[in-house]
Amino acid sequence: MITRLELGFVLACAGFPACQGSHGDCGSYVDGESLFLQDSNNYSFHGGMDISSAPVAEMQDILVDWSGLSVDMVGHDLDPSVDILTLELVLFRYLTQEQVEQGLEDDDLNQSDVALFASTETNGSTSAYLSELNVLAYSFDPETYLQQDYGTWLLLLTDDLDYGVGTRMALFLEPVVAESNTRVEVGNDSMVLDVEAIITDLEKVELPQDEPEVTVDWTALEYDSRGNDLVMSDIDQLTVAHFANLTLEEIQASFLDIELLADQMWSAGIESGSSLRLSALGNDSGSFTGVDSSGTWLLSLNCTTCSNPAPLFLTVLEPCSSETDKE
Amino acid sequence: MSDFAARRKPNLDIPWWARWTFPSSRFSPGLLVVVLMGAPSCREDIISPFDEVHAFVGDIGTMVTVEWVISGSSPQLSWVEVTGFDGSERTVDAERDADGTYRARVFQLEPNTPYHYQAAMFRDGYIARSAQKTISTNAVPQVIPELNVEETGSGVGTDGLLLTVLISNISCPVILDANSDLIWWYIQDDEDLAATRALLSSDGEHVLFNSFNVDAVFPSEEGDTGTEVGESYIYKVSLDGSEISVLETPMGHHDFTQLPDGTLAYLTAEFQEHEGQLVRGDGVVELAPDGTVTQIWSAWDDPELYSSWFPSQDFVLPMANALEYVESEDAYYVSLGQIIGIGTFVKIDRGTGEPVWLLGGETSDIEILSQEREFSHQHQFDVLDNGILMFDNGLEIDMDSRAVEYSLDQHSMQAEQVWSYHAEPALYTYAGGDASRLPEGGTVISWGTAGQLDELDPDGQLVRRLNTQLGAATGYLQWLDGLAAEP
Repeated sequence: MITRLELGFVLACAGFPACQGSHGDCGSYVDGESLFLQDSNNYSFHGGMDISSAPVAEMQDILVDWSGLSVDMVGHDLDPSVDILTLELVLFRYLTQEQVEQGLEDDDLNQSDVALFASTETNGSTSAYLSELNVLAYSFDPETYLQQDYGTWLLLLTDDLDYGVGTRMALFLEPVVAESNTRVEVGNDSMVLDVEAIITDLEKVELPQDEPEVTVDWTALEYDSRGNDLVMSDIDQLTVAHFANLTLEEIQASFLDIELLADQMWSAGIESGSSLRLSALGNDSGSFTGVDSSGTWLLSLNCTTCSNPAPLFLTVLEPCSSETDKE
Repeated sequence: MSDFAARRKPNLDIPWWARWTFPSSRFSPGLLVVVLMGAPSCREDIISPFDEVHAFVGDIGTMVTVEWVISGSSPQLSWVEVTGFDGSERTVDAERDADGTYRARVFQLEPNTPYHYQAAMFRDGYIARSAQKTISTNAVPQVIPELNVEETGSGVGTDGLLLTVLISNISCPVILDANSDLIWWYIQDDEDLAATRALLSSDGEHVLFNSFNVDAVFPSEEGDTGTEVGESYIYKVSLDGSEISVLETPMGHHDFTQLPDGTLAYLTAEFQEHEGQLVRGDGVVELAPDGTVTQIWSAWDDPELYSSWFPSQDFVLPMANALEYVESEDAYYVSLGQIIGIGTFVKIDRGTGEPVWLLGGETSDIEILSQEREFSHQHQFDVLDNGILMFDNGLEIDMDSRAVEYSLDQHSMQAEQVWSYHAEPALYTYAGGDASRLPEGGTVISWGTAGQLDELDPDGQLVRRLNTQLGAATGYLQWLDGLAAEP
């Protein structure tokens, strides 16, 4: 209910700049209102995932060797003895290798798809036998369970001690009755991401210069960058990145390196809801102070727990000012 | 939505018809009754005695606190009426502070949902209401694992609440309503600790949940002592989230229960040296409200039980993984769910600490007349009047977990399988799991590490299925009729 006092304030302010904030309207942004993101602002992302499959002897202990691994699935350098902290083995009982790949790409796998999960910490090693893995406290027994008809086995090498987090490389194991191979190598091409991201065709979002006190609201978004229905609760991080000397085309061409190419990034976790004030963003140097007219600015909504690390939403920020608009 | 508050009888001597009204309507059934019977009529909104009516969302995002001040003499009763945009209605009595502020806490609202609210009072035979305002509850925090609801049949389960734990790299005790909405949650974000069990406290005002260091009770390799870290706690969180206390339960793990007098009983790991290496056995310990700690039972005190297990496992004796207290028998039931082999239940007399009988396995005191297979690595269970319902993980090699019910005759010492439920296609749970009978005869099943919750009707037909996203398991269950903490 609007009280008479409130109604009077609304009427008094209508059309009068004196009632507006310090920077006034800017482009399509109306001062004092949230900046609503639209689907037309979003980039498009198509990511194919190709995980190699290694035939191995059924019901035999298998040596997994990743000493030759020097880059991860997105092409970033890694040291196999330093960066790989956990070896994990997951059994998807009713899914084919293609279905697992698709599920990981779409991030729509359920826990019930997993029949068995075994892991071990690498402790600096670059190889391990499957029998060194544990299912909870108990040793995984490949001589019993590594059977051809049990389902799809996926090996994961991660840089995190938490289960299922920080995958750097993956490889399917394919137990075959007639196979005698008991050693597999996880290499740079065991898993390849084929990514196409288009950020040059989107509608840019106008944002007042040097103004961090703007609330960004993504309630109106319906789809993610892959064209799937957007699950709001997947968004758990908002990031703004600044590229001082790169054009959009250059960023697009090196999309997988976007985090490495950024000169500065400011982030904030999203605990709940679908809006955030940009002043809540921060990095080691301090809080976000707003965009300026230099370089290129990107804003992304991320799901840090999803199997597909590509931002669910990413757009280009176009700095504007009320003075510019008046001209 | 269930409306437990509205079901309660008035706790003051006020005619029920004078309180039972529809807040969104100026014409109420109560008013109709009053007019027809010639009783004092309700006078609504003629003079508003309400000041400073406001509401805020509490620490638990689905709980709203409404506060107001009433001018003039004190009413005989004051309450808040909350109306959802879907027409759902709630009425919650208020308490009056020493400074004259009336306060009502409204639980069990749906997350991320707007509600109308207005204060109301009964004074001198009349009802008055404040102007209607609106507030929205908070969304479920993103860190809580997502639940995908698969509608089957009606798609709506038994009217009631389900208390469990969603377990990923953090643990979140949650309460789900019949629509599968989360209406209560707490985030235990200490990644070194895992929670497996949550319970509504015996006073109905808190959620209790355990948190223990898995590494301490699950030695990762043979020869690990497992004793260097024994962090284990039971958290006590008030329903409005404003009070949190923590009780230490050294070496506690997996499960605990609460007795009617508030005593907590929990499973503990106990390491002893056996043939040159430390071996884990388990026990039951009580923690009384006055802080007294009593060891009720230790498996190490029962060599007959344990001799049959050596050396079936390398460093863990039959692992206790679930605990129930049966008041009518003053006894504990403990599930000993060996991961590789046949499982056992032991009934323990609480007064003597002595085992009464064993069910299952080679040393079973109870004869099992018929069953489709022996249960093994079973977890949580429900002691029925003349039977036991359990979650049977089964052997890894079979990969076919199930809920199974046995009749149990403690006089003839005989048992017999009478019912079971398998997922289709078969689902395997390598840790955790629970099966519990619902008040009207249905069954609710937690599939533990398979991250699935199933609700079955009394005929065993699936009526509700929830799946966690990849990476999250479901803990033990407690079915609740409702939350009774609203004042």
